[in-house]
Amino acid sequence: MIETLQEWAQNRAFTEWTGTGSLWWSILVTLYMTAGTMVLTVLLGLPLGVALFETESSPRPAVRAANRVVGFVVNVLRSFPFFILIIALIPLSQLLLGRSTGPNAAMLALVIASVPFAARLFELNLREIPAGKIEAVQMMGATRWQVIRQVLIPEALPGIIGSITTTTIAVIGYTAMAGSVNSGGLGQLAYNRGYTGYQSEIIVATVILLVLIVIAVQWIGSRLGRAVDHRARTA
Amino acid sequence: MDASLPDVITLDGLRKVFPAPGGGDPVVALDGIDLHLDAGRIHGIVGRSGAGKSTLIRCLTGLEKPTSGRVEIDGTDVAALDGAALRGARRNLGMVFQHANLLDSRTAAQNIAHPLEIAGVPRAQREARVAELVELVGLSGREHNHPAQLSGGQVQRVGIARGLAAEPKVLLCDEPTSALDGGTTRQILRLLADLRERLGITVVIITHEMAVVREVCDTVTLLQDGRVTQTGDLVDVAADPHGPLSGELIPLPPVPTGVVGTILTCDYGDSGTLRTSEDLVRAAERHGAQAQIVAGTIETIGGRQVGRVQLALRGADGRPAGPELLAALTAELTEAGVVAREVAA
Repeated sequence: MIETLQEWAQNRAFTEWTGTGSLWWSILVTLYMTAGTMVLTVLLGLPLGVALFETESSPRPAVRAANRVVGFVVNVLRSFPFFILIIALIPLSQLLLGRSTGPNAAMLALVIASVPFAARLFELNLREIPAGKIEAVQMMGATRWQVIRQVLIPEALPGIIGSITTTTIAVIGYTAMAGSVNSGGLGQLAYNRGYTGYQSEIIVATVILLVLIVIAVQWIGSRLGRAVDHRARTA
Repeated sequence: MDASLPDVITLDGLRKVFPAPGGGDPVVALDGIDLHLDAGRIHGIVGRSGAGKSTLIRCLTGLEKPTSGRVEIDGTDVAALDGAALRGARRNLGMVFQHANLLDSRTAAQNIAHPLEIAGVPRAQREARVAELVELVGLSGREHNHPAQLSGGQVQRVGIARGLAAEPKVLLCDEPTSALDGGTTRQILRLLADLRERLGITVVIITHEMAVVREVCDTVTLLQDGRVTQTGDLVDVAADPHGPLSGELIPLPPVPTGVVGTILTCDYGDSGTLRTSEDLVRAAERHGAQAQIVAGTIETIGGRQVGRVQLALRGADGRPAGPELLAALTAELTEAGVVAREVAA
């Protein structure tokens, strides 16, 4: 037993610090892809979620039509299996980034998959705000922008943080799949060295690390969500 | 009614028709409302659910465009406004809601400051005004709590302070006490009456609770099926035995049982000569009857007694009063402006 562990510890994945073969480097690449994707997802997904919510029952037919079209595109993108999406997007990343491998090319697919996912969750978060609260602020003479900034976002914030947490965890899972197109990161390490290279110690190590990362994300998300939640506890 | 008070709200032929949901007949929510509410008083608007109260509020605040008619608040036709002009006009109207509709993400003080923030009042002025309002509604010490940490009555005080923040001409209260218990209801109503005294603000209370109207309102308007069926000063409406509201404002206890005598229900208050229940008893005695008050509701509104009592009448022989005596008495009472009718045994 001890000998096996000692033997495992000699694996180059654990002893090397850089390169796609290093476990430590792969952690950084996974965290980089996840964080980069999430920054873009919030920046694009939150406005999209607000737009879906705000335009759904607009008095103007053209706006409602646009809402239906965007909603349809969001649904289509959400129903794509991520593995298929990432392969389908290879030409696009070739065109935009000049390459179809590496973390940045993977992030293109990750963002396209996670923005619609997050936008729908954000839209649901906004729907939970009682209509009376929004109307109360409209009756104070608020503009639409003031309602978004001062009512929709702050009132839905505990839910929005929960949605960001859920999306982050989904994205961590997606980054592992992105390993199949040589994105780098824990997924690629587990696939190339662990699965194809028959090194079970790498599989064990990446699984443990991914579980720990997910637990940490969930813990931080829950803490943050509670910190901004001033609603009455209904327990 | 003091004729010198200017109208602050004028509704002129206000109609609101909604297209039918299933493509059938359109729903007429408001069917030609004419109403004048004068400044500095507390106006009650009552009606059952479905009478059009909610639609009326939404038209007053410009959330709903009337199908036709005018909605004038402080001289501005809200129904004709849009965009920035409408948002400006809304600041003349403070709203108080049944469930307060405070934002959970803001403290009491931040909620109160919200209308000022929207109006672009500078921070220093905002803080001074909030401190004043916190004091005014009796919330000192709780201003930094979030709504979830406050009681129902305190939450409604925050709601009222928020409604007053931008110094509106009118405070429009939509069922302000319907979610509160009896004691808290009285406190909130006293606060509203007190605010009217101190600020001279016009208060409109929309409610289904007659007790609220009796307790604080100066005038009352009854909405039925989208129409105004009775409106006027509370005293006049309560005293008018023919109107639909007097019965609800001055409800009568159940008809007594086991009483010997002919039971006569008398609504007085509209009468110039018979002003109290004792006057009625004396009138009956002048006709040679023995009269006893067996049930009644008597209220003094605006220093004037209005009431509805049931008299048990017996003749001199101690037997229930006969038809002649009853006819003579009823004639006299009717002459004096009292509405009297025999209760079938």
